[in-house]
Amino acid sequence: MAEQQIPQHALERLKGLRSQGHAGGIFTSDFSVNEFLLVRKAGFEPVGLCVGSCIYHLGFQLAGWGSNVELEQLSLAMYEARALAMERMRLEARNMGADGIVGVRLTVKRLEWDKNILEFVAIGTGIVHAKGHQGFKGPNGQPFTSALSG
Amino acid sequence: MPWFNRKAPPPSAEAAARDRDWESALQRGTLPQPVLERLADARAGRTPWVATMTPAELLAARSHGCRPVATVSGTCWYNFGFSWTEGHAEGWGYALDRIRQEAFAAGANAVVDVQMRTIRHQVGASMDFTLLGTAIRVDGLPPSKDPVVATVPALEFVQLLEMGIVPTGIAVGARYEWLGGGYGWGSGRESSGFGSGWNDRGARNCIQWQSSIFAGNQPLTELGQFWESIRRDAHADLRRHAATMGNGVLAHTHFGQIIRREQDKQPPAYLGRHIVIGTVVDTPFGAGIPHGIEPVIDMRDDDTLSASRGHHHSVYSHQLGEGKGPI
Repeated sequence: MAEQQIPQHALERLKGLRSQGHAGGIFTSDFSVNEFLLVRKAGFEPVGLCVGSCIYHLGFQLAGWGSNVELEQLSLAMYEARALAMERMRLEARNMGADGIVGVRLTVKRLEWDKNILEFVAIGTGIVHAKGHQGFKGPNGQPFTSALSG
Repeated sequence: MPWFNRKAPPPSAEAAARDRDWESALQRGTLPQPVLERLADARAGRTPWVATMTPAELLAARSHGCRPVATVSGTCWYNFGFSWTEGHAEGWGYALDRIRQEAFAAGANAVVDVQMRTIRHQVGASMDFTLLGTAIRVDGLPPSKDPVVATVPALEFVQLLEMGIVPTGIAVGARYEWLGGGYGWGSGRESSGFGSGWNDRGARNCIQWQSSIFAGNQPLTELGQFWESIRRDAHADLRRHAATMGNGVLAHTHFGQIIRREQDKQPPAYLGRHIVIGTVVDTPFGAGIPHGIEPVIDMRDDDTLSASRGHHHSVYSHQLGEGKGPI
Protein backbone atom coordinates (compact mmCIF):
# COMPACT_ATOMS: atom_id res chain seq x y z
CA MET A 1 0.00 0.00 0.00
CA ALA A 2 1.30 3.42 -0.90
CA GLU A 3 2.48 5.43 2.03
CA GLN A 4 1.37 8.94 2.67
CA GLN A 5 3.17 11.38 0.38
CA ILE A 6 1.44 14.68 0.83
CA PRO A 7 3.72 17.68 0.28
CA GLN A 8 4.38 20.02 3.20
CA HIS A 9 2.59 22.90 1.52
CA ALA A 10 -0.63 20.87 1.24
CA LEU A 11 -0.43 19.75 4.87
CA GLU A 12 -0.02 23.35 6.03
CA ARG A 13 -3.14 24.33 4.14
CA LEU A 14 -5.11 21.45 5.66
CA LYS A 15 -4.12 22.60 9.12
CA GLY A 16 -5.86 25.84 8.29
CA LEU A 17 -2.75 27.91 7.63
CA ARG A 18 -2.66 30.11 4.55
CA SER A 19 0.16 29.58 2.10
CA GLN A 20 1.91 32.09 -0.12
CA GLY A 21 0.17 33.11 -3.30
CA HIS A 22 0.82 32.10 -6.87
CA ALA A 23 3.61 34.11 -8.50
CA GLY A 24 1.23 35.56 -11.05
CA GLY A 25 -1.71 36.19 -8.73
CA ILE A 26 -4.93 34.26 -9.15
CA PHE A 27 -5.31 32.07 -12.20
CA THR A 28 -8.64 30.92 -13.58
CA SER A 29 -9.24 27.95 -15.84
CA ASP A 30 -11.85 25.46 -16.86
CA PHE A 31 -9.53 22.51 -16.37
CA SER A 32 -10.69 19.31 -14.75
CA VAL A 33 -8.33 17.67 -12.27
CA ASN A 34 -6.78 15.43 -14.92
CA GLU A 35 -6.33 18.26 -17.38
CA PHE A 36 -4.62 20.44 -14.82
CA LEU A 37 -2.20 17.65 -13.89
CA LEU A 38 -1.39 16.91 -17.52
CA VAL A 39 -0.75 20.55 -18.34
CA ARG A 40 1.60 20.78 -15.35
CA LYS A 41 3.29 17.58 -16.35
CA ALA A 42 4.00 19.11 -19.75
CA GLY A 43 5.72 21.98 -17.96
CA PHE A 44 3.05 24.65 -18.28
CA GLU A 45 1.04 26.71 -15.83
CA PRO A 46 -2.42 28.18 -16.38
CA VAL A 47 -2.67 31.96 -16.26
CA GLY A 48 -6.29 32.67 -16.96
CA LEU A 49 -9.44 31.83 -18.81
CA CYS A 50 -9.58 33.51 -22.21
CA VAL A 51 -12.97 34.26 -23.69
CA GLY A 52 -13.90 35.97 -26.90
CA SER A 53 -17.46 36.53 -27.97
CA CYS A 54 -19.16 38.02 -30.95
CA ILE A 55 -22.83 38.82 -31.21
CA TYR A 56 -23.56 38.68 -34.89
CA HIS A 57 -26.46 39.67 -37.06
CA LEU A 58 -27.19 37.45 -40.05
CA GLY A 59 -27.95 39.34 -43.22
CA PHE A 60 -30.85 38.62 -45.55
CA GLN A 61 -30.45 35.47 -47.60
CA LEU A 62 -32.35 34.94 -50.79
CA ALA A 63 -32.95 31.27 -51.45
CA GLY A 64 -34.84 30.11 -54.52
CA TRP A 65 -37.45 27.49 -53.85
CA GLY A 66 -36.39 24.09 -55.16
CA SER A 67 -32.82 25.00 -56.00
CA ASN A 68 -29.88 23.26 -54.37
CA VAL A 69 -27.48 26.08 -53.55
CA GLU A 70 -25.15 27.13 -50.84
CA LEU A 71 -26.47 29.93 -48.65
CA GLU A 72 -23.40 32.06 -49.15
CA GLN A 73 -24.47 34.94 -46.96
CA LEU A 74 -24.92 32.56 -44.03
CA SER A 75 -21.68 30.67 -44.67
CA LEU A 76 -19.81 33.98 -44.75
CA ALA A 77 -21.50 35.03 -41.54
CA MET A 78 -20.34 31.87 -39.78
CA TYR A 79 -16.76 32.34 -40.96
CA GLU A 80 -16.59 36.00 -40.02
CA ALA A 81 -18.25 35.72 -36.62
CA ARG A 82 -16.11 32.75 -35.65
CA ALA A 83 -12.94 34.55 -36.70
CA LEU A 84 -13.93 37.61 -34.67
CA ALA A 85 -14.63 35.54 -31.53
CA MET A 86 -11.30 33.71 -31.94
CA GLU A 87 -9.45 36.98 -32.49
CA ARG A 88 -10.90 38.49 -29.31
CA MET A 89 -10.00 35.40 -27.32
CA ARG A 90 -6.43 35.63 -28.66
CA LEU A 91 -6.31 39.29 -27.68
CA GLU A 92 -7.23 38.42 -24.11
CA ALA A 93 -4.50 35.78 -24.08
CA ARG A 94 -1.95 38.26 -25.39
CA ASN A 95 -2.94 40.79 -22.75
CA MET A 96 -2.34 38.30 -19.98
CA GLY A 97 0.99 37.29 -21.50
CA ALA A 98 0.02 33.72 -22.31
CA ASP A 99 2.18 31.53 -24.55
CA GLY A 100 -0.84 29.70 -25.84
CA ILE A 101 -4.45 28.74 -25.29
CA VAL A 102 -5.44 25.12 -24.75
CA GLY A 103 -8.78 23.38 -24.56
CA VAL A 104 -10.38 25.85 -26.93
CA ARG A 105 -14.08 25.34 -27.46
CA LEU A 106 -16.16 27.18 -30.00
CA THR A 107 -19.85 27.44 -29.37
CA VAL A 108 -22.66 29.24 -31.06
CA LYS A 109 -25.90 30.14 -29.36
CA ARG A 110 -29.17 31.47 -30.64
CA LEU A 111 -30.70 34.40 -28.82
CA GLU A 112 -34.32 33.89 -27.91
CA TRP A 113 -35.59 37.26 -28.97
CA ASP A 114 -34.18 37.54 -32.47
CA LYS A 115 -33.75 34.63 -34.85
CA ASN A 116 -31.26 36.58 -36.96
CA ILE A 117 -28.80 37.11 -34.12
CA LEU A 118 -26.26 34.51 -33.09
CA GLU A 119 -23.77 34.64 -30.27
CA PHE A 120 -20.38 33.07 -31.00
CA VAL A 121 -18.15 32.26 -28.06
CA ALA A 122 -14.58 30.98 -28.01
CA ILE A 123 -13.30 29.82 -24.60
CA GLY A 124 -9.93 28.39 -23.67
CA THR A 125 -7.37 28.47 -20.90
CA GLY A 126 -4.27 30.62 -21.41
CA ILE A 127 -1.06 28.92 -20.29
CA VAL A 128 2.60 29.90 -19.89
CA HIS A 129 5.70 27.77 -19.73
CA ALA A 130 6.59 27.35 -16.06
CA LYS A 131 10.28 28.08 -16.61
CA GLY A 132 9.65 31.05 -18.90
CA HIS A 133 10.73 29.26 -22.09
CA GLN A 134 9.74 31.43 -25.07
CA GLY A 135 9.96 28.76 -27.76
CA PHE A 136 6.40 27.56 -27.33
CA LYS A 137 4.66 30.65 -28.64
CA GLY A 138 2.89 30.52 -31.97
CA PRO A 139 3.97 32.30 -35.15
CA ASN A 140 5.22 35.90 -34.65
CA GLY A 141 5.23 35.50 -30.88
CA GLN A 142 1.42 35.28 -30.82
CA PRO A 143 -0.26 32.82 -28.47
CA PHE A 144 -0.97 29.47 -30.11
CA THR A 145 -4.43 27.95 -29.91
CA SER A 146 -5.24 24.30 -29.45
CA ALA A 147 -8.40 22.30 -28.96
CA LEU A 148 -6.44 19.72 -26.96
CA SER A 149 -7.05 20.06 -23.28
CA GLY A 150 -4.38 18.18 -21.42
CA MET B 1 -51.39 26.65 14.69
CA PRO B 2 -52.32 28.88 11.77
CA TRP B 3 -56.03 29.13 10.94
CA PHE B 4 -55.57 27.91 7.37
CA ASN B 5 -53.92 24.68 8.39
CA ARG B 6 -56.18 23.39 11.16
CA LYS B 7 -56.37 19.83 9.85
CA ALA B 8 -52.62 19.26 9.84
CA PRO B 9 -51.37 17.09 12.69
CA PRO B 10 -49.65 19.17 15.37
CA PRO B 11 -45.87 19.00 15.19
CA SER B 12 -44.28 16.85 17.87
CA ALA B 13 -42.54 18.60 20.73
CA GLU B 14 -39.20 17.49 19.30
CA ALA B 15 -39.92 18.91 15.88
CA ALA B 16 -41.03 22.20 17.38
CA ALA B 17 -37.88 22.35 19.50
CA ARG B 18 -35.74 21.60 16.45
CA ASP B 19 -37.40 24.41 14.51
CA ARG B 20 -36.77 26.83 17.36
CA ASP B 21 -33.15 25.74 17.67
CA TRP B 22 -32.50 26.26 13.97
CA GLU B 23 -34.28 29.57 13.89
CA SER B 24 -32.23 31.09 16.67
CA ALA B 25 -29.02 29.50 15.37
CA LEU B 26 -29.52 30.90 11.88
CA GLN B 27 -30.15 34.34 13.32
CA ARG B 28 -26.97 34.19 15.35
CA GLY B 29 -25.00 32.64 12.50
CA THR B 30 -24.16 29.55 14.52
CA LEU B 31 -25.23 25.91 14.64
CA PRO B 32 -27.93 24.58 16.98
CA GLN B 33 -26.86 22.59 20.02
CA PRO B 34 -28.16 19.15 18.84
CA VAL B 35 -26.17 19.49 15.60
CA LEU B 36 -23.04 20.47 17.50
CA GLU B 37 -23.53 17.45 19.77
CA ARG B 38 -24.04 15.10 16.82
CA LEU B 39 -20.90 16.38 15.11
CA ALA B 40 -18.92 16.24 18.35
CA ASP B 41 -19.96 12.59 18.75
CA ALA B 42 -18.87 11.83 15.20
CA ARG B 43 -15.61 13.67 15.84
CA ALA B 44 -14.86 11.64 18.95
CA GLY B 45 -15.78 8.40 17.21
CA ARG B 46 -18.73 7.73 19.52
CA THR B 47 -21.02 7.30 16.51
CA PRO B 48 -20.22 5.51 13.24
CA TRP B 49 -18.77 7.63 10.46
CA VAL B 50 -20.76 8.40 7.35
CA ALA B 51 -19.22 8.88 3.93
CA THR B 52 -20.31 9.18 0.32
CA MET B 53 -17.12 7.43 -0.82
CA THR B 54 -17.02 4.25 -2.88
CA PRO B 55 -14.87 1.37 -1.57
CA ALA B 56 -12.05 2.31 -3.97
CA GLU B 57 -12.16 5.87 -2.77
CA LEU B 58 -12.16 4.77 0.84
CA LEU B 59 -9.04 2.73 0.21
CA ALA B 60 -7.26 5.63 -1.48
CA ALA B 61 -8.34 7.96 1.30
CA ARG B 62 -7.15 5.50 3.96
CA SER B 63 -3.76 5.01 2.36
CA HIS B 64 -3.23 8.76 2.52
CA GLY B 65 -4.34 9.09 6.08
CA CYS B 66 -7.77 10.58 5.44
CA ARG B 67 -10.61 9.38 7.65
CA PRO B 68 -14.24 10.23 6.94
CA VAL B 69 -15.98 11.78 9.94
CA ALA B 70 -19.50 12.86 9.07
CA THR B 71 -21.73 14.16 6.33
CA VAL B 72 -21.99 17.91 6.56
CA SER B 73 -24.16 20.38 4.73
CA GLY B 74 -24.99 24.02 4.33
CA THR B 75 -28.28 25.32 2.98
CA CYS B 76 -29.63 28.74 2.30
CA TRP B 77 -32.98 29.42 0.69
CA TYR B 78 -32.59 32.84 -0.77
CA ASN B 79 -35.13 35.32 -2.06
CA PHE B 80 -33.98 37.45 -4.98
CA GLY B 81 -34.92 40.96 -3.99
CA PHE B 82 -33.10 43.58 -5.97
CA SER B 83 -30.99 41.25 -8.07
CA TRP B 84 -31.28 37.71 -9.33
CA THR B 85 -27.65 37.58 -10.41
CA GLU B 86 -26.03 38.88 -7.26
CA GLY B 87 -28.42 36.76 -5.19
CA HIS B 88 -26.71 33.69 -6.62
CA ALA B 89 -23.32 34.82 -5.34
CA GLU B 90 -24.76 35.64 -1.94
CA GLY B 91 -26.81 32.44 -1.63
CA TRP B 92 -23.83 30.22 -2.37
CA GLY B 93 -21.75 32.34 -0.02
CA TYR B 94 -24.10 31.65 2.91
CA ALA B 95 -24.24 27.93 2.12
CA LEU B 96 -20.44 27.84 2.00
CA ASP B 97 -20.16 29.55 5.39
CA ARG B 98 -22.58 27.08 6.93
CA ILE B 99 -20.91 23.94 5.58
CA ARG B 100 -17.59 25.31 6.87
CA GLN B 101 -19.10 25.80 10.31
CA GLU B 102 -20.36 22.21 10.39
CA ALA B 103 -16.98 20.92 9.22
CA PHE B 104 -15.25 22.96 11.91
CA ALA B 105 -17.59 21.52 14.53
CA ALA B 106 -16.74 18.02 13.28
CA GLY B 107 -13.05 18.81 13.77
CA ALA B 108 -12.37 18.20 10.09
CA ASN B 109 -9.45 19.29 7.92
CA ALA B 110 -11.47 19.17 4.73
CA VAL B 111 -14.85 18.46 3.21
CA VAL B 112 -14.63 16.36 0.06
CA ASP B 113 -17.09 15.32 -2.61
CA VAL B 114 -19.00 18.54 -2.10
CA GLN B 115 -22.01 18.77 -4.36
CA MET B 116 -23.80 21.92 -5.30
CA ARG B 117 -27.48 21.24 -5.38
CA THR B 118 -30.61 23.16 -6.00
CA ILE B 119 -34.21 22.13 -6.51
CA ARG B 120 -35.94 23.42 -9.59
CA HIS B 121 -38.99 24.70 -7.84
CA GLN B 122 -41.23 27.65 -8.53
CA VAL B 123 -41.47 29.35 -5.16
CA GLY B 124 -41.56 32.97 -6.16
CA ALA B 125 -38.31 34.62 -7.09
CA SER B 126 -36.21 32.45 -4.85
CA MET B 127 -33.91 29.48 -4.99
CA ASP B 128 -32.36 27.08 -2.54
CA PHE B 129 -28.59 26.78 -2.43
CA THR B 130 -27.35 23.60 -0.81
CA LEU B 131 -23.88 22.15 -0.38
CA LEU B 132 -23.41 18.58 0.79
CA GLY B 133 -20.15 16.78 1.45
CA THR B 134 -18.15 14.39 3.56
CA ALA B 135 -16.00 15.89 6.29
CA ILE B 136 -12.63 14.19 6.60
CA ARG B 137 -9.80 14.26 9.06
CA VAL B 138 -6.16 13.80 8.04
CA ASP B 139 -4.19 11.62 10.48
CA GLY B 140 -1.56 13.45 12.42
CA LEU B 141 -2.92 16.91 11.73
CA PRO B 142 -4.70 19.11 14.26
CA PRO B 143 -8.28 20.07 13.35
CA SER B 144 -8.39 23.05 11.02
CA LYS B 145 -9.77 26.45 11.99
CA ASP B 146 -10.76 26.90 8.38
CA PRO B 147 -11.55 23.52 6.77
CA VAL B 148 -11.20 23.45 3.00
CA VAL B 149 -14.26 22.71 0.88
CA ALA B 150 -13.40 20.50 -2.09
CA THR B 151 -15.91 19.90 -4.86
CA VAL B 152 -13.89 16.95 -6.11
CA PRO B 153 -14.57 13.31 -5.18
CA ALA B 154 -12.27 11.74 -2.58
CA LEU B 155 -10.12 10.01 -5.20
CA GLU B 156 -9.36 13.23 -7.04
CA PHE B 157 -8.84 15.00 -3.73
CA VAL B 158 -6.07 12.60 -2.81
CA GLN B 159 -4.67 12.81 -6.34
CA LEU B 160 -4.51 16.60 -6.08
CA LEU B 161 -2.97 16.56 -2.60
CA GLU B 162 -0.17 14.33 -3.81
CA MET B 163 0.66 16.91 -6.45
CA GLY B 164 0.73 19.74 -3.94
CA ILE B 165 -2.61 21.14 -5.05
CA VAL B 166 -5.24 21.77 -2.38
CA PRO B 167 -8.82 22.36 -3.52
CA THR B 168 -10.06 24.94 -1.03
CA GLY B 169 -13.51 26.18 -1.90
CA ILE B 170 -16.01 27.46 -4.40
CA ALA B 171 -15.74 30.94 -5.87
CA VAL B 172 -18.62 32.78 -7.48
CA GLY B 173 -18.50 35.85 -9.68
CA ALA B 174 -21.77 37.49 -10.71
CA ARG B 175 -22.58 40.69 -12.52
CA TYR B 176 -25.52 42.21 -14.34
CA GLU B 177 -26.05 45.45 -16.15
CA TRP B 178 -28.86 47.22 -17.97
CA LEU B 179 -28.28 48.92 -21.28
CA GLY B 180 -30.90 51.64 -21.16
CA GLY B 181 -34.31 51.48 -19.53
CA GLY B 182 -33.03 51.75 -16.03
CA TYR B 183 -35.82 52.32 -13.55
CA GLY B 184 -37.58 50.22 -10.95
CA TRP B 185 -37.86 46.46 -11.27
CA GLY B 186 -36.69 45.06 -14.53
CA SER B 187 -38.49 42.23 -16.24
CA GLY B 188 -35.55 40.01 -15.35
CA ARG B 189 -35.77 40.93 -11.66
CA GLU B 190 -32.70 43.11 -11.65
CA SER B 191 -33.08 46.59 -10.30
CA SER B 192 -31.08 49.41 -11.76
CA GLY B 193 -30.53 52.48 -9.67
CA PHE B 194 -30.64 55.92 -11.20
CA GLY B 195 -27.43 56.85 -12.89
CA SER B 196 -26.13 53.29 -12.84
CA GLY B 197 -25.70 51.09 -15.83
CA TRP B 198 -25.28 52.05 -19.42
CA ASN B 199 -28.00 54.43 -20.35
CA ASP B 200 -26.72 55.28 -23.75
CA ARG B 201 -29.51 55.87 -26.22
CA GLY B 202 -27.06 56.17 -29.09
CA ALA B 203 -25.81 52.65 -28.43
CA ARG B 204 -29.33 51.27 -28.36
CA ASN B 205 -30.21 53.03 -31.59
CA CYS B 206 -27.12 51.52 -33.11
CA ILE B 207 -28.10 48.01 -32.00
CA GLN B 208 -31.57 48.52 -33.39
CA TRP B 209 -30.20 49.62 -36.72
CA GLN B 210 -27.56 46.87 -36.88
CA SER B 211 -30.12 44.16 -36.22
CA SER B 212 -32.81 45.45 -38.52
CA ILE B 213 -34.05 43.35 -41.38
CA PHE B 214 -32.21 45.52 -43.91
CA ALA B 215 -28.84 45.22 -42.22
CA GLY B 216 -26.42 42.79 -43.80
CA ASN B 217 -24.02 40.41 -42.13
CA GLN B 218 -22.36 42.27 -39.32
CA PRO B 219 -21.27 42.02 -35.71
CA LEU B 220 -23.40 43.97 -33.24
CA THR B 221 -20.59 46.14 -31.97
CA GLU B 222 -22.32 48.03 -29.17
CA LEU B 223 -24.14 45.02 -27.75
CA GLY B 224 -20.94 43.00 -28.00
CA GLN B 225 -18.94 45.56 -26.04
CA PHE B 226 -21.65 45.83 -23.41
CA TRP B 227 -21.70 42.03 -23.09
CA GLU B 228 -17.91 41.76 -22.87
CA SER B 229 -17.72 44.36 -20.14
CA ILE B 230 -20.23 42.44 -18.03
CA ARG B 231 -18.29 39.25 -18.51
CA ARG B 232 -14.99 40.90 -17.58
CA ASP B 233 -16.53 42.33 -14.43
CA ALA B 234 -17.94 38.92 -13.48
CA HIS B 235 -14.51 37.36 -13.97
CA ALA B 236 -12.86 40.08 -11.90
CA ASP B 237 -15.44 39.33 -9.21
CA LEU B 238 -14.56 35.61 -9.42
CA ARG B 239 -10.88 36.38 -9.00
CA ARG B 240 -11.53 38.60 -6.01
CA HIS B 241 -13.64 35.93 -4.35
CA ALA B 242 -11.12 33.20 -5.18
CA ALA B 243 -8.27 35.28 -3.73
CA THR B 244 -9.80 34.93 -0.27
CA MET B 245 -9.44 31.13 -0.46
CA GLY B 246 -6.56 30.18 -2.71
CA ASN B 247 -4.77 31.21 -5.85
CA GLY B 248 -6.34 29.43 -8.76
CA VAL B 249 -9.68 28.38 -10.19
CA LEU B 250 -10.44 25.09 -11.91
CA ALA B 251 -13.56 23.53 -13.40
CA HIS B 252 -14.95 26.83 -14.45
CA THR B 253 -18.59 26.91 -15.36
CA HIS B 254 -20.65 29.83 -16.48
CA PHE B 255 -24.13 30.99 -17.17
CA GLY B 256 -24.90 34.02 -19.29
CA GLN B 257 -28.04 35.56 -20.65
CA ILE B 258 -29.02 38.63 -22.64
CA ILE B 259 -32.63 39.67 -22.33
CA ARG B 260 -34.33 42.34 -24.43
CA ARG B 261 -37.11 44.48 -23.05
CA GLU B 262 -39.32 46.42 -25.41
CA GLN B 263 -40.02 49.99 -24.43
CA ASP B 264 -42.58 52.56 -25.43
CA LYS B 265 -41.32 55.16 -27.97
CA GLN B 266 -37.74 54.18 -27.34
CA PRO B 267 -35.29 51.61 -28.63
CA PRO B 268 -35.45 48.41 -26.56
CA ALA B 269 -33.42 48.03 -23.38
CA TYR B 270 -31.10 45.10 -22.81
CA LEU B 271 -30.24 43.21 -19.64
CA GLY B 272 -27.05 41.19 -19.56
CA ARG B 273 -26.28 38.85 -16.68
CA HIS B 274 -23.32 36.59 -16.18
CA ILE B 275 -22.48 34.13 -13.41
CA VAL B 276 -19.20 32.24 -13.21
CA ILE B 277 -18.44 29.54 -10.68
CA GLY B 278 -15.27 27.57 -10.14
CA THR B 279 -13.42 25.35 -7.71
CA VAL B 280 -10.65 27.25 -5.96
CA VAL B 281 -7.27 25.60 -5.54
CA ASP B 282 -4.19 26.59 -3.64
CA THR B 283 -0.89 25.57 -5.18
CA PRO B 284 2.62 26.94 -5.61
CA PHE B 285 3.57 28.07 -9.13
CA GLY B 286 5.16 25.31 -11.17
CA ALA B 287 4.95 22.66 -8.46
CA GLY B 288 6.51 19.39 -9.60
CA ILE B 289 4.65 16.21 -10.39
CA PRO B 290 6.26 13.49 -8.25
CA HIS B 291 5.40 10.50 -10.38
CA GLY B 292 4.98 9.89 -14.04
CA ILE B 293 1.73 10.16 -15.91
CA GLU B 294 1.53 7.64 -18.69
CA PRO B 295 -0.61 8.24 -21.72
CA VAL B 296 -3.28 5.60 -22.11
CA ILE B 297 -5.48 5.03 -25.11
CA ASP B 298 -8.98 4.10 -24.18
CA MET B 299 -10.89 2.46 -27.01
CA ARG B 300 -14.16 1.95 -25.23
CA ASP B 301 -17.21 3.54 -26.75
CA ASP B 302 -18.45 5.62 -23.88
CA ASP B 303 -16.64 8.72 -22.78
CA THR B 304 -14.97 7.22 -19.74
CA LEU B 305 -12.64 10.14 -19.16
CA SER B 306 -15.35 12.65 -18.63
CA ALA B 307 -17.32 10.12 -16.61
CA SER B 308 -14.42 9.93 -14.18
CA ARG B 309 -14.60 13.65 -13.64
CA GLY B 310 -17.24 13.24 -10.99
CA HIS B 311 -20.16 15.60 -10.81
CA HIS B 312 -18.93 19.13 -10.60
CA HIS B 313 -21.38 22.00 -10.56
CA SER B 314 -24.28 20.22 -12.11
CA VAL B 315 -26.52 23.05 -10.97
CA TYR B 316 -26.29 25.12 -14.13
CA SER B 317 -26.02 22.33 -16.66
CA HIS B 318 -29.72 21.50 -16.90
CA GLN B 319 -28.93 17.82 -16.63
CA LEU B 320 -31.11 17.37 -13.61
CA GLY B 321 -34.71 16.64 -14.32
CA GLU B 322 -37.54 18.69 -12.99
CA GLY B 323 -37.21 18.91 -9.23
CA LYS B 324 -34.87 15.95 -9.12
CA GLY B 325 -31.42 15.64 -7.60
CA PRO B 326 -29.43 14.16 -4.76
CA ILE B 327 -30.66 15.19 -1.35
